[in-house]
Amino acid sequence: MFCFFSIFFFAGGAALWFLTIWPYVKYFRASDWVETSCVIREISVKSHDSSDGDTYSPSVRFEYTFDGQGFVGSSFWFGDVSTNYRSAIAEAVKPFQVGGEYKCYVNPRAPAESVLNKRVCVGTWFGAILGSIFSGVGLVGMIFGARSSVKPKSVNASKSLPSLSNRSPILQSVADEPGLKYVQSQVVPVEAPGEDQPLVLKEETSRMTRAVGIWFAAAFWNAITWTITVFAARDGGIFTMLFMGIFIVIGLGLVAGAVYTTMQIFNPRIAVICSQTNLFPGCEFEVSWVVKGKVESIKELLITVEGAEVATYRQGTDTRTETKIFYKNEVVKLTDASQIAQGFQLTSLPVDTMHSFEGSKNKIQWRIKVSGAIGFWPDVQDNFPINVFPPVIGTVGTGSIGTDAAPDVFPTTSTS
Amino acid sequence: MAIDLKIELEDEQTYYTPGMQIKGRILWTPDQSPKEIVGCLGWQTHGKGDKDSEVLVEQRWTPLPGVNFVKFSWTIPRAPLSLSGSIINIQWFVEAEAVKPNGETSRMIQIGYSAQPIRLQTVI
Repeated sequence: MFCFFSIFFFAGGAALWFLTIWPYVKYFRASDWVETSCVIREISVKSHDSSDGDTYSPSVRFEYTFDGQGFVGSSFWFGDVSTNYRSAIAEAVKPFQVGGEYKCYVNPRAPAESVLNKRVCVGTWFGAILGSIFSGVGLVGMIFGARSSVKPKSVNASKSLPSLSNRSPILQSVADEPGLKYVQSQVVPVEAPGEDQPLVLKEETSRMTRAVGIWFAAAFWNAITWTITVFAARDGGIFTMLFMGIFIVIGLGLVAGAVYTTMQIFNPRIAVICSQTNLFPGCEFEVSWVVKGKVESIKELLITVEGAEVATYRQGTDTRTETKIFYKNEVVKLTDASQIAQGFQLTSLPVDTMHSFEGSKNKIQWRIKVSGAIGFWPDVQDNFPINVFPPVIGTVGTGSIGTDAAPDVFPTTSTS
Repeated sequence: MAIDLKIELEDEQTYYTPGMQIKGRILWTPDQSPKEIVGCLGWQTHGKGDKDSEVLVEQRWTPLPGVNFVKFSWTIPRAPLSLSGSIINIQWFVEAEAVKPNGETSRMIQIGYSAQPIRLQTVI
């Protein structure tokens, strides 16, 4: 997954660099270029064949003299982007006529380097949007890819089962019978050996991580959006500015979200303790809580146990995740400050429910959710994942169909 | 030519609890003599999400000429249990594959503590 998304990242980065950043770098480096008189010998809108239809760019040849030497220039503007919008290119070359005398700009340190129109080419916004989306998606994918690659919970996620003859080397032999191999499932958590102990639960994502993540996304998004908008405003691209309005609204929403999650950092902290590490369907356990900080600011504390199905799937080129809550049980709902400060409550899991399951694309997740309502301030919203283990063999009735003592109904002549 | 494989489960049982033995045999037509037979027990998901799968038990045999079946007896793993959810289903299978001549077949089974898979329904 890391390698797959790195292709997006580098392709997006290349588009961003060559189509947007490099033209602006050249533009700013040309700030001290000398204005010189030139005569245009050729100027036209040049078409290029491409898979998406014809694209266009300006083509120019102009002559100028610098320090007593004659030169021929061929750069119309900064950047070499060809675009589908022929009218935009035609509009740009319209003020220039063959045989006319105009001003061009010459690099005094390398007089052969010159430009007729001292501005960046049209179409840089396209490179900025395309490049930032691709590289952003690639970067996020690479981060998640790197994180998931260190978790020992991946499973064979092939769309169809691979050939049996090709998949045995991963299996570890634990059986006495030759040729028979058993392997421990990698997607179902196994309880730790030893005595069961109370467990202080860890937050799914810390408040700080959430805030930093959203600030990072907001900064990235807004940096790109506002850069494009400012240059579009300077070049008078009214349609580009209107188009960018959608992106600006999203950017402002991200900033609002970042402020909200940052304010949540200062909320009272709630420690949640589960009376036992090993939870099974049907088991009873105790949930304890201790609020640290300004307890009286919490008007209502709600603790629930939730089970959810989480499925990830590809739809076209997108990867989507759908979550369905299949179990929700209110453990406590308190409004009294002294009870909110700390306490405990007995609760239980249903007997006929599903244990935790951590496939690479399909998950059964259990969590304790803590919500604290605070007046005129973002609420406390913390999630604490818990593991619900499958029943231990022998602790649940074995059903009525089939037993180990079933007679051998098959003939005895076999190979093994 | 593909080999004609068949999986027979003892008493035609299709529901098992963890820890039980799943017993059966893999058969093929007597005139065909495969070089290797591979049997396995595993699960796969189906539903809204992309597929996950695992093989938790595997056995290989090298049948002698003239033999037309092999027997297996495997311990049912503890988990995952068969599931029928709103967007995720977990289904167990017994699968057999023959090598030279090649062939493949499978049977679906239930693993759990009741005859039906665990059912999950969306609450909100």
